[in-house]
Amino acid sequence: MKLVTRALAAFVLIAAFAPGARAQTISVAPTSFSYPSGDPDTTPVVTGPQLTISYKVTGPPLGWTITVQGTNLTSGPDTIPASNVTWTATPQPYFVASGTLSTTAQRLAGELNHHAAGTQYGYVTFSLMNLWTYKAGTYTQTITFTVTVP
Amino acid sequence: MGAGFKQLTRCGWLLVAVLMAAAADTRAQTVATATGTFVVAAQSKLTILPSTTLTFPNADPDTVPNIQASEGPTAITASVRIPSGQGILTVLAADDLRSGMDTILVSALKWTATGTGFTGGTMSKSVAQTVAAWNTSGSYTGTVTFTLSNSWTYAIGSYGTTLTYTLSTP
Repeated sequence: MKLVTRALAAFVLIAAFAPGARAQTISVAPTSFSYPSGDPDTTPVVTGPQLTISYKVTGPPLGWTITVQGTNLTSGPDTIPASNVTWTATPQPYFVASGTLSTTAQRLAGELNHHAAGTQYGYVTFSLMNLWTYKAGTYTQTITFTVTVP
Repeated sequence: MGAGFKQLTRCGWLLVAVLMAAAADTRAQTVATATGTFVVAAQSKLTILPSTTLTFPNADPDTVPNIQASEGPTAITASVRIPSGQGILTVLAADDLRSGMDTILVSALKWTATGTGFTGGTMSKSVAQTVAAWNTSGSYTGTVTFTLSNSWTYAIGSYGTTLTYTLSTP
């Protein structure tokens, strides 16, 4: 019976220290936002609200990365390139201070030598070039944040 | 005893499977998305310089059959955001050029134009004349140069009228 108990305990320990101990989560709030409208001559760039990124990475190995990518803004057949969107982010040094949105993943934040144990927070604000050349319409885009580990 | 061990071993594997499944579920939460919305409303904006007065100086009709405005070309910047169709800039005269009871037909006033979408024309007091038209959103700059047909038949006087520009979007 003792042998059986030990075997069970071993299973439990294996389960505890195997992949299950390595966990990463990420969320963003708010999950929807609007770029304000404005006269392109007086407001050449329109800025959305600050988004809060909540993330947590535990367990070995050390290190984590958050990437960001976005779709083009679309309104039916009309598009505004994702590259017309820029971002600013804090806090440094974990977050890249500023960048240009792309349809491919860009590094937004990361740390090579530490966990992000406990829930950590970053703040990102997106801005859009406000051009006369945009066709009238309601445009939407999806911005995706992904946390990865080595 | 042997059967009991096997039974418990099965329980152990089951536990491992449950825990790993739970771990896999946690790992799945590695992506977050936000949706951004931008409303581009139909919009137009018109800037005309000089915006107040054009003056046509006196001249000998034989040597200057067409008098150009002293102010030179009128610079026009028209900005439009349109969903489809055309943005159109028109001009309409309030009346013929008048000096008391005397008149010069407003059709004596003509213009030439430069710039994308801009076109020359002849002034009218009854039908708005197209100065420019565009099929796509954008900010467009052009010039319009007015000339007045000069004639010995005009009665002496100081003539004037008012021109109204209208920028319309669908």
